[in-house]
Amino acid sequence: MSKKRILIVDDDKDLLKALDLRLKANNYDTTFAADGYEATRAARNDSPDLIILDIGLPLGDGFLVMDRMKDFIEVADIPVIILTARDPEANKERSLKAGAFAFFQKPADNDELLASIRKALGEN
Amino acid sequence: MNYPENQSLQIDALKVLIIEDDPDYTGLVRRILARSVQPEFEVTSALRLEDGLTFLSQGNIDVILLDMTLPDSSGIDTLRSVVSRKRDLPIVMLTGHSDEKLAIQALHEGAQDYLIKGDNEIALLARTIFYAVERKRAQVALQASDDRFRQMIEKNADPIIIIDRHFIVRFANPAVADLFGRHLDELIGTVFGFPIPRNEEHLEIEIIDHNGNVIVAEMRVVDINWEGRKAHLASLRDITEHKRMIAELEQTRQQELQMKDVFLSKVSHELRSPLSVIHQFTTLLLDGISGTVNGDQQDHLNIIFRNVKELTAMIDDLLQVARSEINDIFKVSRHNPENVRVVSERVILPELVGETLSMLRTIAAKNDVQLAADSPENLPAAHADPQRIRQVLNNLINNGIKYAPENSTVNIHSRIDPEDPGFIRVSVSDSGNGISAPDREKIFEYLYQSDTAIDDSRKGLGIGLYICREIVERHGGRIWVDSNSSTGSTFCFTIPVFSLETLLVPILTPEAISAENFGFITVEVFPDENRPLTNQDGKVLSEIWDILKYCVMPDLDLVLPRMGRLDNGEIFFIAAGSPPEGIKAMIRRINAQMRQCPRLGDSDLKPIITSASARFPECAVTGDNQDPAGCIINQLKTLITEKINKRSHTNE
Repeated sequence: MSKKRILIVDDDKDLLKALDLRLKANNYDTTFAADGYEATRAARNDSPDLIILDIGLPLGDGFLVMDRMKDFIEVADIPVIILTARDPEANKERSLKAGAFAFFQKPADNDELLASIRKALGEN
Repeated sequence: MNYPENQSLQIDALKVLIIEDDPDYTGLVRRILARSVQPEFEVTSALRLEDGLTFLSQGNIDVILLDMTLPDSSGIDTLRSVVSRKRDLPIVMLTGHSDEKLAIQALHEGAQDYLIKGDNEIALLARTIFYAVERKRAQVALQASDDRFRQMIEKNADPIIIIDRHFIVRFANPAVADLFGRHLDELIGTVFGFPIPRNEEHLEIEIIDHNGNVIVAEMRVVDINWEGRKAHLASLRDITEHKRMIAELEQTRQQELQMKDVFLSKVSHELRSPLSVIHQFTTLLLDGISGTVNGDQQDHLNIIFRNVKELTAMIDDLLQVARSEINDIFKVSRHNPENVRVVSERVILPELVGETLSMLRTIAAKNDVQLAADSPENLPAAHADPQRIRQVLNNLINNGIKYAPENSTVNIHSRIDPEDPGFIRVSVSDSGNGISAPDREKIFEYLYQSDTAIDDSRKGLGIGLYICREIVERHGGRIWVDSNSSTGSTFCFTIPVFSLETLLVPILTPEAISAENFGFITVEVFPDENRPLTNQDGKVLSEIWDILKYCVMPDLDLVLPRMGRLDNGEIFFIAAGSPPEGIKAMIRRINAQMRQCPRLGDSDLKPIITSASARFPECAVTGDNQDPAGCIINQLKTLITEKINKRSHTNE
């Protein structure tokens, strides 16, 4: 069975690198985007199985990215996990309403994040 | 004749004008009055009203005797024409028997008294005249004071309304017209449309003026006599502007708080991003994803990791505090109950101080400040949440470093609180510039910023000390500051002494003791091989802790707080007040629950449950044993110490 591919969207290059290592160590393929525009493009071109998405992004924030994805039937159903430094009180409900599978605030517990990824991908 | 010795009698002779068409009667009056010495009377007479009025207009008359039936006037009109000219003169009417009714009417219209001609009453003439004069004087004086009162009200700048007992407006001054935006005519005689507070109480009323504006007025009422009847005098004060200013101030304050909230949210967000990167790379290293890590390196990474978590918790607090409902910070918040929990355990305070100092040494060195801590050898353990207390210490010592002059020392003393031996008192002293008295009171308030702080660097966000106070108060302690400009500031806080005695009060009941329902269970959780605990182990341990807590019988048994920190494992203690079969059932429950815990199954941590000498026969209630509870507690203490020492030794 081929590895699942995860698109990581974050404008913090250091965090991209860390998540890349963490996910590869857990047997996932990774692909990246650093802004809202790239994110939508990568979602369509890189055929990811899941997206880890920041909210505060240049060229369109995470909410806009989720909104744009709904316009393309082939990416509309890709599960999105929000990983943001923003305050959950103001953003969690909004994210889930916009269709996010889960919401994590940075710094997130790795075990919980990985568990959520596995659940979103239907793995056990 | 004798008259009352009254000051008003020591005057000149009373000048009497008699207007009477019967000269015989006038003559009689003259003769009678001539006999009077004290007072003396001087009598002038007129036969017709017109002549009488002429005399009156010349003045110099003190009292009038007035016949009701004169050639040129009769009946009540006679009186009226006199009153209309000389309102203030006392008048005694002279009347026949048939006219008595009329005479009574005359009294209502301003006459002071009447005499019926031909009666013996003539004997009382002098006295009658004298009293008529006195009554009139009193009435005039009263009238004058009423008039002055009325004038005072008229001219008062504050709106004043007189309301009678039936809530009818009897009088109102011009200021009322201004306040209500209505003519006085529209108000006087109408029902006053507001509730009337009780005597000398206040009430706020809202008046809608003719433009539809709402005016807020404060009404104060005193009960008075008005024209001889009970009435309410309501004075009103327009407080619309005052109210508006208070509302504006409150709004400005709210806006300021809101701005601070927004700012703090932003700060919290900016701090989290880099922290998240540190967290990620630390865990990558710790989990061996970046290659093998040796024992020392693992140790150091764990220290980084612990501090990252502490910093994260602090940022959480920062934001929590920034919420407008700041008071909820340490109450169990519905959003995130985990964040705000204070979990107390048995902690050795000097150890916490030591750890905090080692974290702050670098900053202290940079500021050329020394740090010194001391505590008595026999200082008892405290009952507190170590993470939270570290936060308090960190905050207070950090402040001390900031404000201490160069080459000075920040001293941290821990000792038994001299005022309450149930508490430990920690003080952090610097020799800085001190804190002014008004600041000392407010410094622990949320977002408080000193106006009198000597330099700007003293001004923080007004959160650190607020959090300290919340934490200390959550522990049941107190926090305060002693300060003066010559010796600097000393921040003190107290936290409770750890006391098994206190903890065990609810389960060491006389019934439990006499039935010998007392047991003791230890759950030792250590890894297969001797190794330091990891973050993952921490999660397993907290799950075991939770399992234990819901396997015991509330009110009968007690899972004791953590008794001491072991690097390589954990020992949980349960003081059981259940009967033997209950203790057996409890151990069965714990075993069953632990088997179902997946995290524990994956881990090499192995819990060993022992019901350590489940009973204490030596503490049985016998003739020799006066204090079974104390005996049990001592046994427990010995057992706990033995267990912990044994495990600590195997670690070395």
